[in-house]
Amino acid sequence: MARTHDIPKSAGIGIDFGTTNSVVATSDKSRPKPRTKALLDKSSPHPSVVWYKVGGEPEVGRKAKDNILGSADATGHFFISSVKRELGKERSYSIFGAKRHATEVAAEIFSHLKADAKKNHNLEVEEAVVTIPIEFDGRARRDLRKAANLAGIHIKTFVHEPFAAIVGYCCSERSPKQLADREGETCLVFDWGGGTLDITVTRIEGRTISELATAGIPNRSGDHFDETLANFAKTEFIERNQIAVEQFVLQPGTKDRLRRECELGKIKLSEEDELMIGLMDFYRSNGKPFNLEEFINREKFEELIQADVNDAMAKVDHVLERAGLRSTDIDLALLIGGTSRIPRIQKEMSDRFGTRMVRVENADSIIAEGAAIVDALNLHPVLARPICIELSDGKPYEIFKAGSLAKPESCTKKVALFCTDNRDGQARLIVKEGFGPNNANFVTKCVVPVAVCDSIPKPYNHERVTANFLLDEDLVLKISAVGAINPQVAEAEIHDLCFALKLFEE
Amino acid sequence: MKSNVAVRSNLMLDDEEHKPHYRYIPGDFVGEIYHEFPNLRDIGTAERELTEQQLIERRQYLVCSRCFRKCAGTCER
Repeated sequence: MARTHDIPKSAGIGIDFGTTNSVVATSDKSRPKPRTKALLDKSSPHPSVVWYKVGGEPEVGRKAKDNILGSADATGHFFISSVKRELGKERSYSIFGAKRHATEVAAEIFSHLKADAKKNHNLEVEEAVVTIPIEFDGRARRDLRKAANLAGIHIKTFVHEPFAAIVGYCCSERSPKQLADREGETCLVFDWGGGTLDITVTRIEGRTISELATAGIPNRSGDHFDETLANFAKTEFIERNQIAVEQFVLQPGTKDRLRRECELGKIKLSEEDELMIGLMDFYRSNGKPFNLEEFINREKFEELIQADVNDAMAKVDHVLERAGLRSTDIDLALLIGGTSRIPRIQKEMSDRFGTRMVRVENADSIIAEGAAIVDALNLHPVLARPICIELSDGKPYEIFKAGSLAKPESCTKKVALFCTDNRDGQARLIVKEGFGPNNANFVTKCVVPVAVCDSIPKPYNHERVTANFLLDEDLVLKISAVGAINPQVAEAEIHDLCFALKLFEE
Repeated sequence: MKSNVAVRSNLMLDDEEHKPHYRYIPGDFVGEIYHEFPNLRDIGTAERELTEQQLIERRQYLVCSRCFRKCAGTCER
């Protein structure tokens, strides 16, 4: 593989395929602190926006996002953002009469990331570790893999975003302790990006990062704050210039310029106390141009977003409650995602977690960098909980232990069973997953009905059932079962098993 | 409406540890196919070999000598 001069040949590649923004990062193999590099678009992540135009190649990234408001309603233009949310839902878009599946749209974003890495960083992205949210199920993972394959990228494995963030931080210069030294620690990952807020409480035990509880807000993040700031600027402008609201119509493209200006303004307000949102030729009335020159200070901006911040903090309290913890039980509270740079949010988190709260400089790219480290070092997803089947005496029989490497070659098993009661012509294979302290309890994940012979053969012969279990590369547990007499094969899949991330010794 | 009837497994491991198989069959089913197990034809052996739960279930299957039905002892009440 061709690499840039500063990326060693042994580098790992990670991709954070985000709802709003996506990033590719690389890592070398130096232990304990690998060098990472995020491949950004002029110091910003690549917006996950695809712009289809009649008779032209689709545009992806910044160019698409900067035109979304002005051209969205124009004929011959079709914009798709947040396609990640549609993966695994059999969603298709009708684009200029042609049907395009969500995976094809997502593939455009992967292709853009691949092309950018090649063009601007001389890096050939052929395979990578790709991050996913905790709640991303097997169907969504399959779609994501299909999308990456369409772009010529092989997904080596999936890693959950909060786990990647912890790896990205713990393996950096900024962390006083390495992952292996954080044994028994509880970490809260507060990931407030452009599209969603995700809060996850994790525990590091046995060199394994596992999830204790998770919560979030899907539609109130960075983009929402840009909109809030844009509305404020518009309202102030209308009032100051005494324009009737019904007459206030902006020129095509102005909305995009305003949103972009507000996005930059929001970022600047994290550093500066006051700024001006300014746009030349913002509005025209009877041919007379008006410029936008609205001042906003940080205090006012924080007042505008206070309700959203309060909701976010309520979610932090909620996730702690779900994990059965208090804020004092958290050893590390990691603030990631661009929106978490807002000082008001940092203050609220600091009030709860004090010096245990850490805000990282690479908040936009830490997940991708963590994924690259996962690829470069010996970190692998493992089953967080044991998988078992229920036997006729009610006892569980373990199929895969908790901590089993989540790979097809490690999680494959064949089990010989007999049906204890075939009078209704059906054997019931009940698959369960452990939960609770020490995985002492089990929750049913699926019941697989297997057709068996319903007559009583003479001399009596129990109907044998052979069950096969396989965890595929998309972390979906495939189950197939067949009776010895009835050849009808019963099949089922479990898409929502729990996974952890384990650091293996070299 | 969600059923409150719990689905139970009717599968057991087919290995040496779980033999003889008839010890894992519901008692009423054992009663139904009783004659298929030569060592259970003797009542005394059956009483020893089967579990307490199986014996309870099996009694419910047997034909009552009083009412000649599978009454599970209800005809005496």
